Amino acid sequence: MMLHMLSIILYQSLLIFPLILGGFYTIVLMRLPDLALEAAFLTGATISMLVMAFLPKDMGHLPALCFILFSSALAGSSVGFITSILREKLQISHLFASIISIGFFTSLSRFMLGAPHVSLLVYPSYLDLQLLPDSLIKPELASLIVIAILLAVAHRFLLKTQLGLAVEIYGVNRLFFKFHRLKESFIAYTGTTLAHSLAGISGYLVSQSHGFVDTSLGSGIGLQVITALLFGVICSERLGFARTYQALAGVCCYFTLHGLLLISGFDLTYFTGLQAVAVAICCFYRRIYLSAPSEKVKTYGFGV
Amino acid sequence: MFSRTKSFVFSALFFAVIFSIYLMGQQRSEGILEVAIIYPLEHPSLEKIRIAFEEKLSLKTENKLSIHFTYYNGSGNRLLMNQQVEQAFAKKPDLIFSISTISASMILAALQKNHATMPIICGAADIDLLEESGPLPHNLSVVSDVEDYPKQLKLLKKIKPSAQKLLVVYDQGAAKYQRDLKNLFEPAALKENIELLTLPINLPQEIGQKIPLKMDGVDGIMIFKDSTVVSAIESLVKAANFHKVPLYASDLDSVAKGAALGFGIEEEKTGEESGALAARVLLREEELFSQKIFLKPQMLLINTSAASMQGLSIPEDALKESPMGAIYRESLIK
Repeated sequence: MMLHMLSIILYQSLLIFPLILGGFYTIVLMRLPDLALEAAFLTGATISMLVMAFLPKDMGHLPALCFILFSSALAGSSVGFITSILREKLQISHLFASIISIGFFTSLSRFMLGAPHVSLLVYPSYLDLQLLPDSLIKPELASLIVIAILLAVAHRFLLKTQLGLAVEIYGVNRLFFKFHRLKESFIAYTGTTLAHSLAGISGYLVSQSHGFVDTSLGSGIGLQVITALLFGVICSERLGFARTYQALAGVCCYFTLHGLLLISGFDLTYFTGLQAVAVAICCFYRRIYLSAPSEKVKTYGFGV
Repeated sequence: MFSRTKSFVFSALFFAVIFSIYLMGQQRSEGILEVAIIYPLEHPSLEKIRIAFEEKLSLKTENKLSIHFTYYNGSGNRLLMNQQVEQAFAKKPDLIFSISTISASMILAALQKNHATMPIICGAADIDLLEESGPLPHNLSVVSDVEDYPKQLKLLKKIKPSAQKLLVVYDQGAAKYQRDLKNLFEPAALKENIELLTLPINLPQEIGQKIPLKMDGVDGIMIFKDSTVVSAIESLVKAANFHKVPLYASDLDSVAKGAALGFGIEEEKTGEESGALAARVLLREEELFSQKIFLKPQMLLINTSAASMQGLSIPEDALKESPMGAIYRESLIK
């Protein structure tokens, strides 16, 4: 029972881990109110469905999965790119740029899907690479673990590079770029596009897992992302591990709490209310008890 | 001064275009009856009802009346739906046909302001919910498919006698199903010695997240007809297939999508009954006076492929006509 619950928590966490990682770049590092993650999530799911429809039937699962992941990432990054153009070129605030992107890409997804809801059960599950025997643990879990490891390694590597540091500086002090005569807009474009490509990947993973693509797929995702990131921030500051692992810690905490509530028989009618209360408690806790960063926090570069 | 003239000309042109569009919308051809069809969103079940209504009405009034249909699709947006209902009333059609309880509630609310007198038929609407605010207006009739939960659960016990614990997934925002669950479904389950576990959800994507942790010791998954849950049928089918428990739907369309069992009424029947009533009213054969037409579920549809994937073995006699009055039919997914 315990193993079953842990496997479910891990499975659910890994499905939206790329999305949370994307949120980490834009919301935590760049400090942008990035609601457009919802649009990137949906667009990634939509494009993955279209790609699946055109893939040859005899194509192996592994090449097909790579192709679908790449397409979803590209789809998500297009949302990020458009949002960045609205912000940088048209000087629209990120919040309004996100709202415009959500409206545009939701309609575009609806147009591409041809219906508000499309079933994916007619296609094989490309996440099932037959790496694990059929058992209580879902066969897609192995692929998700591999994808998460690759993303985590790439994420850790990126944060050590100048680009990664620049993305963090963008959220702290944009005047740095002006002072050093560096192109601030390049960082804005890159950070947002990268974050949204991760959201697009998550869109595919979730829609493949659920078996359908729905135009309301991204609804409510903003609150989930913020809650998970807050949990991650508090974990890293309280337990003293590097911010690199905030996204992973946050998403695992979120789904552990989620799972415990479900098992305990909590009335799910009030689940979103409880989520909001959890966000409020985290903010309060952070303000009162974590006003000074812990000495145990490992840092490198500029405090990552 | 030239730029002011230019602004004036452009504003005048703009208003002229808007006014023309408005006038075009008001035009009605002589001798053609206008029937407005109002529905909340595009959905295969609602489409079936709408098409069946149109076909029946056209068939019954062939060579007698010319009918023009105007469609008001809310696209799932309640504000838009409200606006569309007002628009429909403003155009004064000869008959209004609405599909689903949401549209019917909005029409009822609009009637209180508009005092319109054209005949209105509400198809697939929950009569109890509509009558909560008082008796129905005299020009509004309802064609409603009602559930028969005791029969539905008896059939389940016949097919799977060992079923003792059911997981019921429902939309917590749908007042009808919350009420039905408490007042009708729970007592019926108690009679059949079935323990109920409930999973309320708000959005379709929540099912994939929440259902795995609720499946412990469950002998079957049961869903109602709320569109939020039905639209996530794929997640339910995946969960049912993975945990080898039957998925029992309260509509027939879900069976083709992978539910092992479905008990309900063919959606077309609602459309046909509504169309027949509309024809009688338009041909002046009948006065529309707060009629209530109840359609009871009559069919149990079995998907034998899905049933075997969900660990359900269908007894031999279930494939013949049942003495309980339900008609069994097989349906196979290819």
